[in-house]
Amino acid sequence: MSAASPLLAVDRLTVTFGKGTQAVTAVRGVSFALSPGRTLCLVGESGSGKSVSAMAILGLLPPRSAHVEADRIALEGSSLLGLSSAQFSKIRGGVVSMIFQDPMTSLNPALTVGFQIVEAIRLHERLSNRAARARAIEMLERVRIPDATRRFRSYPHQMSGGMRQRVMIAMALACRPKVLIADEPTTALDVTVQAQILSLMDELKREFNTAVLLITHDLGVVAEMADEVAVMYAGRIVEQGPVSEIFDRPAHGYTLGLLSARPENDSGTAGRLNEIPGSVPRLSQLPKGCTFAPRCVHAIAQCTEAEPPVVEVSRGHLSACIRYGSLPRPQAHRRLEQANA
Amino acid sequence: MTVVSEERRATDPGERRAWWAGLFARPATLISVSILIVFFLIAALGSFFVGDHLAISSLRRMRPPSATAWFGTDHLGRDIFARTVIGSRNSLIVGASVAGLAVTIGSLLGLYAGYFRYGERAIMRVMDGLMAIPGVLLAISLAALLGSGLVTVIIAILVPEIPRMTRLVRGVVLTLKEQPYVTAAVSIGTTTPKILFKHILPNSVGVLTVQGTYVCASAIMTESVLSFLGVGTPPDIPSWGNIMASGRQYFQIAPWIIGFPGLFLSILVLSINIFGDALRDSLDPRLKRRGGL
Repeated sequence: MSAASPLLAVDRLTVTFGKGTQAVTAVRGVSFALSPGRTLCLVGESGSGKSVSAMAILGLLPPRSAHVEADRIALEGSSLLGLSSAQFSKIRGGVVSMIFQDPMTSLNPALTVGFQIVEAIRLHERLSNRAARARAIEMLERVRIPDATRRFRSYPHQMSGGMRQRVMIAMALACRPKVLIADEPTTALDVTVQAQILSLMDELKREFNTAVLLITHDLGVVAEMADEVAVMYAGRIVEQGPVSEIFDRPAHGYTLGLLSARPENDSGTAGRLNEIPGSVPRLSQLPKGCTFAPRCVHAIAQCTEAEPPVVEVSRGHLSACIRYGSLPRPQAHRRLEQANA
Repeated sequence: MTVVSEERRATDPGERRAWWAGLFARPATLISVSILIVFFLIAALGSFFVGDHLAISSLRRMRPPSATAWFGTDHLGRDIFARTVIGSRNSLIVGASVAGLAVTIGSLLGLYAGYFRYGERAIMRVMDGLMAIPGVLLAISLAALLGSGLVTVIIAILVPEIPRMTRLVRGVVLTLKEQPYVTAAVSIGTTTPKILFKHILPNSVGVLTVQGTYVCASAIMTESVLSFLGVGTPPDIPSWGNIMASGRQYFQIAPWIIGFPGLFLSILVLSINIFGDALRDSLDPRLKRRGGL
């Protein structure tokens, strides 16, 4: 995490839904930074606050129910906190773009994909309709949509899931944003298409030098895409660091649990997958101390006493686990080389 | 990396043609649309072909249908056929304008109430209030207040239709605005007016069209009811309602006075409703081909 001046810096982001006794804190003190050309993966189970964090940064949460607080959310040095919706509109899609999980529902069924991309371009750049159209077709070719000129006039329902996600990527990158937030962009796609989309994203990231925040629960995706990894649990980042560190020397019981739950650990032997016992606690009833302690096989009595502080395990590798020193190494980690092969 | 694996799907013109074919798949739809076209032509061109609908003749009072007066004559000797043909204009104008205005005003109010939700309560309570008043009663009082005339009739019928339209659109907007593509559009910086009119409204067009046809049919009915009661179209403009009203007393001896305009009214309203059903079925894939007419 070299970040002399990160492109996007988030410090102690907290998101609360509801008011008074009904209030539920979905994200608690999340901090991270994005730099150009680098990918940060936000990993965690459903309900761990990954998407909410991303939406909060872009101001996409409903202001009526969500209360967003942070010490700092800065894009290229200027704060995003408390921007008016008009100011946010300029940033969204222009400087920061977002790709959503489900390409089936993220495109408007009543409009042609071409119209939607042209609209995205013309919202941010003063281009003639014709120039925007040319750019849109160029973007469709960039994301390798065959016969882009004809596809320009297609409606979303005339395309397959993979093509629609390509269209979403084309739309998100049409204005050359500096930051791309991808919220589980491949979860709804089948595996072969998934690999195509990921490698396309990686390629475009290099080409445009985009900073990518990739939200996922798939560690295979993380191994393939990430430079940095932040692991979230119950609204908090429990471990953060360079991808090799996280995979080789996980310093949190939860990360270790996730790594050993991967199917490829059962080197050839059919059998039950390792699992993390229990389920994510309800955000309204978080356990005392480390929120993961009740499910952690490495937990000791001390874990349930106080919320563990974040410590720097090694350079750039942060962990909120008091037992980071005595955790075992993940077994049979034929991880990165294999995933990248 | 190749993309050959991704399937190609059939595109454009064929699909649109298939939609039209689907719309007219049932004979009843085709018949109803033909009838609507005929009615439109009658209303537009009828006055060139029929005689004077106001000519009074004391010698030819209450004649039954014959070669000279196809639909017979009324108690003042006026030609029922001419009056019915001219009256269709009135019905269609009222139906179309009420439907058009109700859809326009209802969608604006509904879009506002559903999307912004700031003035929502106030708007919806006013709408609830309007809904609680019986439509015909409101129409009668408005007609009494504003005096009779075509515009009064349109306003009188329009006012009770607006709450229904507003509620419908608001409901649709409430679901549509939670759709991921709306969030996605917001996330690329789309401004609120564009979200409303380019993303949400086009997706409600199906519902609006279908509801519009029903409003049209019911407005034509209500216009006839009002004219029948004497608070609708003034007597110098023939309308199916006031033709029927004039025949009410002579129903037993001259049933054609009431019968022919009534028949036209039923056929027109029925056709509009069948057309509305067909539109609904082909715009809503879930209801596709469940039998029926």
